[in-house]
Order: sequence, then structure tokens, then C-alpha cells
Amino acid sequence: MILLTPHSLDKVTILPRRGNADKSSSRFYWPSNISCSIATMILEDHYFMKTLFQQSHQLLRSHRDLATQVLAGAGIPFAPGG
Amino acid sequence: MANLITTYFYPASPIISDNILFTSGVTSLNAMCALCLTDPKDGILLGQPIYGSFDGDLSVPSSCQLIYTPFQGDDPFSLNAVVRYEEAFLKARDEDGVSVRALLICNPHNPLGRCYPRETLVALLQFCQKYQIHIISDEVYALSVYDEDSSTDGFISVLSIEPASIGVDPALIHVLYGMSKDFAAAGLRLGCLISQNQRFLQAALSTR
Repeated sequence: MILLTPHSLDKVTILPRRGNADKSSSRFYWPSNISCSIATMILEDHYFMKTLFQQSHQLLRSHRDLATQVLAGAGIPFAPGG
Repeated sequence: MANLITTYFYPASPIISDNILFTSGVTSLNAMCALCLTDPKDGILLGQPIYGSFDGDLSVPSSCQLIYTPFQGDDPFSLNAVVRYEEAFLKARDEDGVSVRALLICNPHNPLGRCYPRETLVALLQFCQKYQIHIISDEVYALSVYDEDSSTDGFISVLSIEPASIGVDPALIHVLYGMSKDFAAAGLRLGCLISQNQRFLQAALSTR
């Protein structure tokens, strides 16, 4: 495999044994085609994403408000914001 | 995905498909980053506490070392935290002889659930530039944030900071994102590496 040196990535080191090891594991890193297809459908639905994130943010806010209310009532400090 | 990043991460430079590499989840990306950026025994700098599985994700496949930064009571999201990172970096380098190759942060943070302020991100980027190490920003929780809150700025991606304006090489900046958290779709096993560094993307591609 080609292994870039860490700093400026301007050198190339060939490590044959590491390369063989990586080849053996590379099959685990490929995304599946069906995953890519499903993700593409989701990502192209801008209305869905907008409403999903709005609902997610609102729910997270209400759950945080509940948690911080309980913590404050019990005198347990917590980081503001989030 | 480039459209999502453009819409919600407010990148300072345009993100196109050529800047994105897809893999089978962010776990795989962690391994690929470690394999590409470190030799065995090299270090990756992290804060403490942090997502516990980074140990297995990073050090097992690559034999790199994780250098944890204790914040000694300082707020891990403050500018003082950057001083602590530098102390941990220098200790690893000068006392333990470890070549630290990258800083890995979680933003929003896992497990602390907080976002980094812009000023801290700028300082972290400049710290990485100073020592010529990469910054890997795991932003897999980017859009799982609270509804409007005037007490913070919310999530700010490192991609939204113009590196040239603060004297930072954009080739050192890499972002990890995925579908598992914000879309509650962990079963898709889909993660992506976002970088302006084409050589790094090619190296990561060779391990995929």
C-alpha cells in the first residue's frame, strides 16, 4: 500500500507487510451499494431533512430543559448551553 | 452529501464530491486515518474524557499510541484547553519520544455533549499548524444539537473557518461525518471523510 508520511504528506513510504494486512481488511471498509442508494434518496429529499432536523432539535431541546430542570432542583451543577 | 455539508456546515471553501470519500461507517474512517497518518508507535492526541472506542478504532489497526490530554480542571472547550493539549504534545514529544501526528476532537463532543466555540477551534487549528500535525474533527453529531439557545453559538464546523485567514494549511484539516447519529441510521454503515487534501484522500482510498 501507499502510506503517506504524517507531516506534510510530501513523502511516500512503501510498507509491503502493512500493505498485505490492509488488503485483508479493506473489504470491511467499502460502503454497500444499497446503503449508498438509500442514503442518496434521503439526502436528495431536502424537505424531509429539514423537518427531520427541526423535530430533532426541538426534541433535544425539550429533553435537555427537563434534565437541567431536575439537575437544578437537586442542586447539581451542569454546563450551560450545549 | 456535498449539498448537505454545504447547507448545514457552512464551509468556508466549496465542498464538492471530490472532497468526500465514503466508507462503511465512521469506525472504518478512524482506522483509515490512523493507518494513513501514523507509523507504529506514533501518537494521536486526544482530550480526556473522550469516546472510549477510539482506542480500538485507532490503535488496534495501526499500532499507534493514543496520547490523552488531562485538562487539570480547565474547561475542555476553552482556550486554556489548547494550552493543555500543547503540554501533552510536548511531554509526548520531548519526554517520551513520541511523534504525535494528529489531534482528534469530537465536535459536538462525545460524551460531554457540548460544541466547541469558534475561538477554541481557531486556536486548535493554529496549534496543529504550529507543530504541523493533522486535525481530525469527528463531527458525526453535527446536526444532533439543541434548538435555538442564545447562550452558545451551537455547532460550528472546522470547515466553516477559513484556514488561510488564520495561517493554517487546509491540507491538515479533515472532517469525519456519517449517517448513524443525525439520521438515526447506524445500520446503513455509511461514513464519509471530508478533506481538501487529495493525497490524503487517495491514501485513505487505497485502504478502503
